[in-house]
Amino acid sequence: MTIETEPARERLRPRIIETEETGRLELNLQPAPETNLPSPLTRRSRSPFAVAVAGLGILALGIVGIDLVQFIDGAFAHGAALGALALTVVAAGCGGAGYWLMAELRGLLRLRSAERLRTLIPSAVSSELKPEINIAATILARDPLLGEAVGRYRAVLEPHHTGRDALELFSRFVLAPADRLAEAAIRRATAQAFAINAISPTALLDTLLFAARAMRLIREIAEIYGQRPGLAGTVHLLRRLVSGAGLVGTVDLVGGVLAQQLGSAVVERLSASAAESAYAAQKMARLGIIAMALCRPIDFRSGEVPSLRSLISGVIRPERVG
Amino acid sequence: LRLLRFDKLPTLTALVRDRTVRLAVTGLSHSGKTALITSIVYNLLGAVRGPGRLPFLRAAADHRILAARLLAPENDAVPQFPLDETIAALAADPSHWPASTIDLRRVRLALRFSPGGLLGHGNPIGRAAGSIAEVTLEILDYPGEWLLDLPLLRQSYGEWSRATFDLARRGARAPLARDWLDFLARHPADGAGDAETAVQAHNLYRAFLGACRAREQLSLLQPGRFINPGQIEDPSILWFCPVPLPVGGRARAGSLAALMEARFETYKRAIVQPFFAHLAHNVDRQIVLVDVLRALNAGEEAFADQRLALDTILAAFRFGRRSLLRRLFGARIDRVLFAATKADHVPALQRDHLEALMANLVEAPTLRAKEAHARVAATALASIRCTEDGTDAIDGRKVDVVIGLPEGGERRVRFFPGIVPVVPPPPGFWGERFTGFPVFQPPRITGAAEDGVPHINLDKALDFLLGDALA
Repeated sequence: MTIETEPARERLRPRIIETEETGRLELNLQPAPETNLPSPLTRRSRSPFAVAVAGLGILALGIVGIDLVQFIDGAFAHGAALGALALTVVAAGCGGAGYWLMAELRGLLRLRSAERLRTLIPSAVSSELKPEINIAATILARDPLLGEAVGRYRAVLEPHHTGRDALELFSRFVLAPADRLAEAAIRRATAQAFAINAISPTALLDTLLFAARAMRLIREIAEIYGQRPGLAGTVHLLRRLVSGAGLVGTVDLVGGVLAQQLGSAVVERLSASAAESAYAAQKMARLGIIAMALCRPIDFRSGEVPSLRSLISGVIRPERVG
Repeated sequence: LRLLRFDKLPTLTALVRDRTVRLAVTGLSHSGKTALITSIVYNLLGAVRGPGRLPFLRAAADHRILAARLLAPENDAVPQFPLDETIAALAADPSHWPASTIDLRRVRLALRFSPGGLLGHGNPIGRAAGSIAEVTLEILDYPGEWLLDLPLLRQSYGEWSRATFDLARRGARAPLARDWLDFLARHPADGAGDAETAVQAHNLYRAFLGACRAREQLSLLQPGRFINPGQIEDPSILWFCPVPLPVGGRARAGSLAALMEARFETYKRAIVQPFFAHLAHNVDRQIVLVDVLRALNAGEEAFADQRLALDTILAAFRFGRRSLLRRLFGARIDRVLFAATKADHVPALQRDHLEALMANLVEAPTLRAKEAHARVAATALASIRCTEDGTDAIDGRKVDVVIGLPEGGERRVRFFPGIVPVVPPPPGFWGERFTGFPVFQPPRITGAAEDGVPHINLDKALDFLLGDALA
């Protein structure tokens, strides 16, 4: 709408345009078909480090390749049967490595797609929102746990819904169930962090076990939001997790308030070591919330961020899951 | 003890959550009240089998509405809403719009649902408590013009007459009021008050109001019963109209002015006051339908007049101790939704604009309502959706349009509704009037309740109006 800038004489007036089409409209339209995944990342200028790593990678691959060719050649020199065996072994190894690489690349691309979407949605105008959300739905539809939720979203979404409507429906039908799954995962991890801290004999072991469980939690949450990160994807997520210092600070502040509220009750009921365990559980829950914020295809809206209190309550009062 | 049937006792959930929600539906002329009520009833009846049709109504989307049924009419003076007739009109071939609201009517339906939260089926406390509750929804339908009579209750005949004359001599009203004003000039207010002269003056005034509505699409037309009389046993109560009275002047006994004043006071006492007393005691939610789009395209004066009428209506719903309804009748209306209707006459992007414009028009009362812990909201809706979105080119520009089949026509048309501003437009906005709004043929429904009726944002409106009762 440009009522301030557009002179009245240039503004389009209402009008009725006759058509040759006849017959009543079929208004109970079927939901829109799925669209394909978004196109891969746009081309960017390469950093010197990336070029160096790529070059070294090609060098390593070349050396390994030449070695393997020599290995197979040498085996054939000792006999055809031995050569065939060497060829089979090398083919199997290369196939396995290739499969792993492909899985890593797919995971990383999906992660990047979700991130791109999250940055696009806040600035998208209403008419652009629907296709963007459809991309997010396509990503989440691959998750066996969320496929049904995406189906329900697509069933209720009608062509007359605006972009804002689509966002609201997507949040209600798809993200809300995904958030509940993620929260359940955080509660499980929180309870385990509590137990690890309570039974761990040394601080070093405690730290190692906590880190391993935290890593598993991050991957679980990423999978819930349809991202299935491999090693590269997990490293990427961890890097983003570390860079999200501002968010950590915010959560710390919330955690502090919670500690004040829960502290006395916890200390009264439990021993000092158990209170430390409760703090470890709180840290795990904070980490989980941050991971949710990073992996969600659409940023949390006001009131959607799960509270630490609700996540940690499962540690003291066992939570029913499922 | 045998008489005590434990299976007939209400469950704890029923005791806590069963309630009746009384929803009043009103709107200025041709705003779609009958269509809205039909769509609400039909879609709620169909919400059990087709919850996806109301995705924004949380209880339906969560599959918590377990059963819905129409209730028999209560044995009182309020006539039943003619649901069978409206359904028959929409199920006919070709389908057509049902007749408009001309009187007070009511329809009741019961919704059995599973509450969320503590009393829900997913909670052990809820399961122990019974986990099923019932909401009775009473929908009261009445012509919106009647709301414009509420301010008359605090006005004297002299005050009302002066305000009406002031309006009638200005703008688009002036040429339409000429016959009536000429008649009054020939029959002075302090002249002898004979009944025949009063009837003639009334008829001319009523014709003037009718012309204001039909030709100029004006909205602030008082008294409302002159447009929609409803069922009035003694029509002579209406035989009055404003006459020129000086400020501070009193009507001389036996004069035309005195006769008019007496009838005006009788009208207030016998018609207006009982209606609002009934409304105040039998309504706790209100939806006001406004055809913003038509007024916007009918020109600056029609739009300003609609705004003035809306302000007058809003004054009735001013929340807190200063509310006229509350002061006079102890009303407890705690939610009011203003809905810009015919949202299917604008394409999707403009629908957001229409909603924003409606919200802007009721911005001030919304803020006042918040202070009084009540809620006022605005939306754009189409109770029965008749169009689909499309695009076209006008003057070389690609524009969004809606496509529909005009009622009685054979060929579809593409309708470009103009630009809907998000705020009340400034003087430079207005151009040539457009009054040729197409009336689209409604979609033909099957007549089976579970099939529902296509709509736009009806579920959002229901969630606002009933969401807490079905939570």
